[in-house]
Formats: sequence, C-alpha cells, structure tokens
Amino acid sequence: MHIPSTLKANDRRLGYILIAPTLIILFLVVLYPLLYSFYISFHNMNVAIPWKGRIFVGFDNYINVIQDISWWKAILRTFYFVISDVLVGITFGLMIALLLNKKLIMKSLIFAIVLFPYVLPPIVNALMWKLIYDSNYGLLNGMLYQFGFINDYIAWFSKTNSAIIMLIIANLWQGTPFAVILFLSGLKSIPLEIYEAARIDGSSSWQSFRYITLPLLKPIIYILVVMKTILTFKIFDLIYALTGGGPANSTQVVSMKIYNESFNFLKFGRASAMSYILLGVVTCFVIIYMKLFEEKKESEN
Amino acid sequence: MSENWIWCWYKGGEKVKKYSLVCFRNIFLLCFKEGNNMRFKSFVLVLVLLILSFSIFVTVYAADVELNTIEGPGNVPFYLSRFVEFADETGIKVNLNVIPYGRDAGIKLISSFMAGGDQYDVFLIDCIEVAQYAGAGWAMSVDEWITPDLEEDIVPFAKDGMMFKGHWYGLPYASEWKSFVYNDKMLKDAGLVEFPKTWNDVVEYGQELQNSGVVKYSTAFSWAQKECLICDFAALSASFDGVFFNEDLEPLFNKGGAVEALQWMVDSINEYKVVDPASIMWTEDEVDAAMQNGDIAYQISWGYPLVRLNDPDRSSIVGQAKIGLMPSVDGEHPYTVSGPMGWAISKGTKNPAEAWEFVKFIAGPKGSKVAAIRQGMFSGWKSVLNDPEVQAGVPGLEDMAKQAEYIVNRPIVPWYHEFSVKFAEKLHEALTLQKSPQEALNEAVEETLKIKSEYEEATR
Repeated sequence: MHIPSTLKANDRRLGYILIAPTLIILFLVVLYPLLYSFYISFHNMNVAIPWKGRIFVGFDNYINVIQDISWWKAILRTFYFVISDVLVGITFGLMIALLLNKKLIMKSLIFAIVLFPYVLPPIVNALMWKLIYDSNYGLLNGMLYQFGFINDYIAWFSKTNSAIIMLIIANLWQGTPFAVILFLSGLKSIPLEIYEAARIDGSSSWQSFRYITLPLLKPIIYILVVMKTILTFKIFDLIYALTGGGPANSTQVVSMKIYNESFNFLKFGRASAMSYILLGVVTCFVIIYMKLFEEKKESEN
Repeated sequence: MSENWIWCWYKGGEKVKKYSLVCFRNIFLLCFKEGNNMRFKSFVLVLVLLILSFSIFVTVYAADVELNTIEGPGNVPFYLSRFVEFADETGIKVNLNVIPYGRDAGIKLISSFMAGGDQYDVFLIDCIEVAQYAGAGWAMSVDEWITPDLEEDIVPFAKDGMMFKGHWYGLPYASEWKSFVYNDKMLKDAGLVEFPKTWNDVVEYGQELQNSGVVKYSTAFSWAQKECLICDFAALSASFDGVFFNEDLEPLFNKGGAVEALQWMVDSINEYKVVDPASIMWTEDEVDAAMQNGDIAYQISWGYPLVRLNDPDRSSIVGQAKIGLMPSVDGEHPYTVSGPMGWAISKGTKNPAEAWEFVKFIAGPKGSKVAAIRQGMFSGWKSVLNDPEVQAGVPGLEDMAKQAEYIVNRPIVPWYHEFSVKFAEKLHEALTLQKSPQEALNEAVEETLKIKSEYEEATR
C-alpha cells in the first residue's frame, strides 16, 4: 500500500515530539550531569566557598587523588571485597542452582525462599544484618554461643579484620540469588541427551559436571563475573548503613571515599576526579574480562 | 503540584499566559493538520503533558506566604502541631519535608543553597554547621531582630552555638549537653554508695559492678567513627583539662589532657575492660538502648535522659536512674560537651520577616518552654530553665542544671566537617590499637593543619 511521503514525514515529526520529553529528561538527568561532572573534575570546586566559584586546575585533581595513599588503600579494600564476592558468590550460586535443578519436594517454595533476599531493598538488607550482627542480642552471636562455637558474644564490627568479612557475608546473602537465577536458566538450556550420551559412555557425575556442565555454563560465568564486578565495585548502601567506613577505615571502600569527599568535604572537583578514575579502573577490568572471554572462545573454536 | 494550579495560572504573569496559549495553539494545529491520522490521541496526550508541565511552573505564583522546612522523622508529630498553632496565630503556613536522619538534611540543604536558597526558608542548624553556613553566605544573620531581653536571657553556651564572628544566625532550640546518668539501684546492688566522680572511680566501680555480676560491662560510649566520637572525645578531653585549639586555631590536642583522655579511652576497653568493646561501632542510639535495657550501669547522654529512662514503654529500669556531674580526672573538672542546635533562616528566602516570626515562635523563650514541657527539648533560655512549670515537668532538671557551669563546645570553624571526619579516623586508629594515642593525635594535627591551610588559601 503506498503511503504518501507527507504522511510519513508527519508521523516522524509527531514521533519526535512525543519522545521529546523523555529525551529532555534523559539529557537533564543523565547526560548533562555526566558531562558536567567530567568538566568540574578539572576544576577546584569547593561548594562551601561559593564566592570562589570554579578554578581550572587541569589534571591536578587526578594527580592528587593518584598520589593519595588512602585512595589506593580504599581501592585495595574494594578489590578484596570484589574478589571475595565474585568467587564465593558464583561458587555458591552454581551449587544452589545445581541443587534446584534436581527433582525436589516443595521445589517452588525452596526457590522462592532462595530468591527472597534478592527482592529486598539494599538498605533493608543492611538494617536486617545490623540486627543479626548485634553484639548483645544478635542472632549470629546467639546461634554460635548456643552451639558452643564461641564462649562469649563478639562485637563483629569492632575489629578491623572481621568487619569487612561480615559485610561480604551480608552482600553475598543478597547477591547470590542473582547468580542462582542465571545458572538455573543456563542449566535448563543444556540438552539432556548430552548427559545421557555421557552416561552411556561410562562417565561419572563429576566427569559430566566437569566436561559438560561447566564448559556449557562458561558464557554465564563470564557474564556474572563482569556484572558482579561492576555491581560490587560501586557498593555503598550496605557500608553506609552498617559501618560508615569504620572501624578505623577498615571498610572504607572507594564509593564511601567519594561520598565523603563530595558530601562531607564538599570538594566536588576532587570527588568527580575520583569517580572518573574509578570508571577507568572498572572499565579496565571489563576489557580484561572480555579479552579473556574472546581468547577462550577462539581457543575452543 | 499545587492544588490551586488553575487559579495560579490565571493569576500568573502575562508571559506565562501568552506562552502557554501560543504553545497550545501550535500543538493543536499540528495534531489536527490534514493527513495526520493520529491527531486525536496525540492531541490528548500532548495536552496532558502540557498540563503537567505548567502545574510545576505556576506553583511559584501562589499568593499566600508559605514557609518550607526540612527535618528528620523524630519530632514530626510535635512539629506539625506547632506549625498548626503558628498558622492559627499568624496565618503563615509552614510545610515540612521529612527525610531520614543524619547528614541527609544537610546535603539537601546545601543543594538548595547552591540553587539560590529559596527552597527551604527555615531549617534546624547544628552548632557545628553555623560557621560553615554563615561563612559560605547560606544562613541569614538575624542581628536586626535580636533584642536586649533576648541577649540577657540566653544561656552563654547556647549563644556561642548560634553565633559566628560576632553575628547571630538563629535562636537556640535544642541546647543540650551530655549528662552523666547512672543506675542507682545497680550501684547499690554492687555495694557502692555513690556514683563515680573521677575516671579512676569509673574504672574501680565498673570492675566492682562486673565482678559482682550486676552487669557484663559497666558502661558503653558512642565511639563509632562518626561525629558522636568527636562529641565524646571533646567531653573526655575537657574533663582531663585538654583543649582542641588555641585562640589562633593552632591545634593543641596532641598535648597534655587530650592525649591522656584518648589513652584512657583505649585502656578502658582493652586494659580495664569496663567499656563494652561494641562501643567502637555504637552511636548514641545503641548506648541509650543498652542503658534502657539494663545492660550497662552508666552512660553519658544527650537531652533529658530521665524522660526516656522513666518511660515504661521504652525502659526496663524505670525509677532507677539518676543524674550526676561528669566524672573528671581529679573530680574538679566535670566538663561535658554541648551540642546546641537552633532554628536558622536561609539567606535566599523570599520571606525573611515571616521566617523570623516562625523562628521566634518555635525557638524563642515561649516556644522553647512549650518544647521543653511537651517534647523534652533542652532550652537555651535561662527563664525557661528556671521556670517552675518546666522544672516540675522534667525529671532531674535541677541536677542537670548544675552541669551547666562546666560545658565546652566543639571547635567552631568553617572547615569543621572535614576536620571531624579525618579526626574521627585518627581516633579510631588509636581505639583499634593500630597506632598509639600520641601517634594518632600527632597525625591528626598534621591533617588539621593541612585542612586549615587549604581553606585559608582557598578563601584568600
């Protein structure tokens, strides 16, 4: 059917008008702040001294951040957090998904319980774990004491070496269901005939897992590694609610440092520079992962 | 969206009306242009968008004076009732935006100041914020409205909390300090006849309380790596005769009493073991809860602690707690820290006179009396503290008033927040035994000098 060109032009114009509000909002809320924060990262901008305005300092903010030892300590802590969260989270996620892939009684109920942490808002998760970790009335202390694992209640967040581990556990509890969902969908997509053929050839359960399941799940593993790295690198809510970066900065990750710089010290220029350095670090990670994934895929092909 | 948006559009400026009519006409013509099959649906959609957009723009043209403010959820019912009373008395409506506690209100306030300062007309200001807000030109000076009567009536430390460089920036509202509270029954159960007056007594009595099985830990403090740690350190340091800065703002807290105070804090957890180790992560709320639950025998607490501790809905130690003077190193320096807060006016407000009417209503002597009796707010006015009705309504006020002679404020400097965050980090390094108290305080002095010189260079 022939559509007159004037009619098509009118439809296009109308389409632009209708999506214009969305584009304007996207520009104002996403693109403009992004560009503006990049711009002010090259300026000395202290909001508490408004009469000075913005003073162009070139790369000084970036150099100061890179020379700041506390920044690199925060990066290292974040790496520790990320590596623990990724390794343990993916391992547990796979184990739970393998279990849920079997025939179980009340499988739907178990699945709902497993997924429950994922639907909680992060701040609710944090407040819940605050109660669990309470040094006088917490569930964790109560259970460990009753079972005889500890002789006395422990103030988990009062020690620099235990505080970050407790945070990792709280984050794992909420983040693992995401891995479960992805692994479960991956497991469901593996044809059963492959396992039958392997059984006929005399392969054991472990061999089936190692030579069939794991290789076929590799794309999902790589996606999870990338996504969990990005998500964990920018973790904030849990740490803000539970420790605020303490004790003695032992849980101060990069996002908390940026928060302090911008909202406590009001140094927006330096905080913006930190954000872009963090962006660079995460981007490097993602590129490394993608390269590894491509090399693996080529070698397998 | 204003409920009177149609009326507001009608009353709005000529430009608003002309612009809206032109836009409406153009969109109408576009939608109903020949050959446009979607005209009716798209016309309705665009009309709805237009109405929504202009509702936002025309709210500014509302004729009645309304004041806006922002606060946390703690005192909302009381505030709302007072706002109604204020509206009945003056015809000025006050709108309250409620947000979570902490620095969230400060962040929103600062954002509004950066955008001109007319979003919030009046706000609660902490003494540690006065220098920053006044220095940055965000808070309005209220000198012109301060009368000799007000100057005469105000408690000195409350006045210090509301002033910067000789100018007033609000009226005191919650002019509180930390009081020493002890559980008299627990002390008697442990065979102790009086409350501790020195820090040595705190240790000795504490160990007695613990050894006799009355409590597991005799006390706890709010030593989380936050502002609460600075407050407690300020109190302890003053009670050891330490000081923060001299008149030229040269840091002195790595000398003398301040170092001894930090050493005592470290030893109280690790050597004497009379302070709950969880104090390192506790804020005031957790310490209050521990006292209310009967887990500890004494604490230092803001406001009127006996109001809370004698409330059967919240406390399991009703009638057992009493107020005493703060312990000190020799019993002669029972100093504590103050935390006066007040109501201030934004420099960008479009209604300064009305804003002052509100501040006077809620934080002046009359308003402060209402807050003291109904809400347990600590008054900064002598007339209110001496009022028999207030004294009858607040248990322990007479004992608390004795503390009023021995009060210190935290440093009043424009760079206080950055100093506070970094100082808390260093104190925590000492508390968690990563550094000795002397090392930690020496590094804190270096950081402070850096912050101070950066600020001075930036403001030159």
